[in-house]
Amino acid sequence: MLYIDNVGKSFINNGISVNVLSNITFRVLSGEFFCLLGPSGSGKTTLLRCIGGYEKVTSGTIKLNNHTVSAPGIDRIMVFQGFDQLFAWKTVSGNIEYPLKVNGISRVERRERTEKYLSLVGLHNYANYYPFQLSGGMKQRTAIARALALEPPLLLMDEPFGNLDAITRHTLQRELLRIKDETNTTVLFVTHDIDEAITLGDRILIFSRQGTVKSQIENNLNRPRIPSMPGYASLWANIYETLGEG
Amino acid sequence: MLNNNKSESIYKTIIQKGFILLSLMFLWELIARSGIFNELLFPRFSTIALSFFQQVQNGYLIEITLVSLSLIFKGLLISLIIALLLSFLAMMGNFFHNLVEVLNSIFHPLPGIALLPVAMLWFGLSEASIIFIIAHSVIWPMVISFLTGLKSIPRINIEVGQNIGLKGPALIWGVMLPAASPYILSGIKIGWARAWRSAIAAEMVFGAVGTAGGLGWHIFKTRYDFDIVGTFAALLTIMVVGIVVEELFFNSIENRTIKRWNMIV
Ligand SMILES: Nc1ncnc2c1ncn2[C@@H]1O[C@H](COP(=O)(O)OP(=O)(O)OP(=O)(O)O)[C@@H](O)[C@H]1O
Ligand SMILES: [Mg+2]
Repeated sequence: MLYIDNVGKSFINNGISVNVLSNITFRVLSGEFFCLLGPSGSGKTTLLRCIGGYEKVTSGTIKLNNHTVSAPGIDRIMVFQGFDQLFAWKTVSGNIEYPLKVNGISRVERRERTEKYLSLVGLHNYANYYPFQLSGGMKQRTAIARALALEPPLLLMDEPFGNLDAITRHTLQRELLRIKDETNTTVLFVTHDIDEAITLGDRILIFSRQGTVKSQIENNLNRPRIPSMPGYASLWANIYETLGEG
Repeated sequence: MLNNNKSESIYKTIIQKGFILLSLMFLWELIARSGIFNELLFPRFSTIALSFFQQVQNGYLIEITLVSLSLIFKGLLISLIIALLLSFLAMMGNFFHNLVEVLNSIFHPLPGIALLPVAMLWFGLSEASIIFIIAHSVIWPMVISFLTGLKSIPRINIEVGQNIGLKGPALIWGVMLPAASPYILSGIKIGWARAWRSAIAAEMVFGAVGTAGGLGWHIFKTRYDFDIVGTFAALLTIMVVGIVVEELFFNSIENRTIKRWNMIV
């Protein structure tokens, strides 16, 4: 489905060209849950932004269903890192419903989906709140609901659960897996949390601090994955070591 | 609780502002009655208010105010469209940005009234001349406001808009205008104040040569007839309209939009 072929990306910072990504090659299969794991500053967001079509790659190609990615599109919905991605002039339910309206979904179905995803992220009591009235985690959950409600073929998620408490986080992880199975969405999921990558990912791509691929790990553990299950600990140790070296 | 506090403080503001206004009227009345100034030149406030109410009642003041307001409304509408077009044009690239900036620095400092002779030559003694003057004095400050607003739109808002499939006019309408709304509103407010002033100024010149007149023309005429009370009644009208538009119209729009969204800058 998604081909990342020898992608490199550099930025000009203070007149000097800085390599952020080099020689990134991998592919994401249709229906797969694919995790990108790497330390802070390793270029995960940058890569996701290239795939989203918000940045141009410096070298290499990104192909989605055999078309080279060049601009943002409704076939890849992005959940951005951070709290400022909601429309300040729309309520929580407005933020979820508006993209559906833009995409010609009928009023009845819009209402239905908005309700469904609002309660999924536990915000049905906050439907009429404006973003400035929400906590950081609530904003994040609204953004997740907005993306899920669109039921896109490919979801790009940049540390979407980064600022949630453990319980909400686990609920949303479970729900995301369920929705993925239900809608057959492909998910490309950025995280720097090893447990999260193991819980969610079918495959885990590990980034080095320099923005190169360190290794790609298959994760064949049965779901639901819990730390006490056989194989979990050794996988964890394996990833931890890979992340740590160099 | 929050709401309660809010309406309480709005209530307080109204009371305080009302008190200030009443005190000013009272002060005016006192000074006029003290006899320091010739009462022909400095009439009592009560006399002015009486004349004001009489002329409102017989419809005359309302009629000429509507003449001015209709000019202002047309001028503002044209300015709004042109200023929006110019601002979006300026966002289309470096060349257009420079173009709009040069136009702005040429025309912004030019007083509208200085353009009156040109307007008369181009449009004759018609409404179009006054609308031209109004539009000139409104467009340039409006462009500055709008452009600041467009530049201040967070990039992530645009990116989300593009992501959900918005392009061109749909992106402008759906994301850029609401995201820039605090600046757009303040541009319109500045525009309204400018339009009001330049309309009165232009009417004063035009009325003298006999076009159907509004408030500006009326002010000119009353002064000519040495009807000082009439002049002050007209000035009072300008203030009343200003306060009503500012406090009722703009405030209620702000309360329903940018204040509600906490998008105040
Ligand atoms: N627009 C930009 N211009 C210049 N440099 C940038 C830009 N965006 C990112 N970078 C640089 O690219 C590098 C990678 O940043 P990126 O945001 O992709 O990291 P990340 O892996 O997402 O980190 P985190 O886990 O902290 O979110 C950083 O060194 C950063 O300075
Ligand atoms: Mg990041």
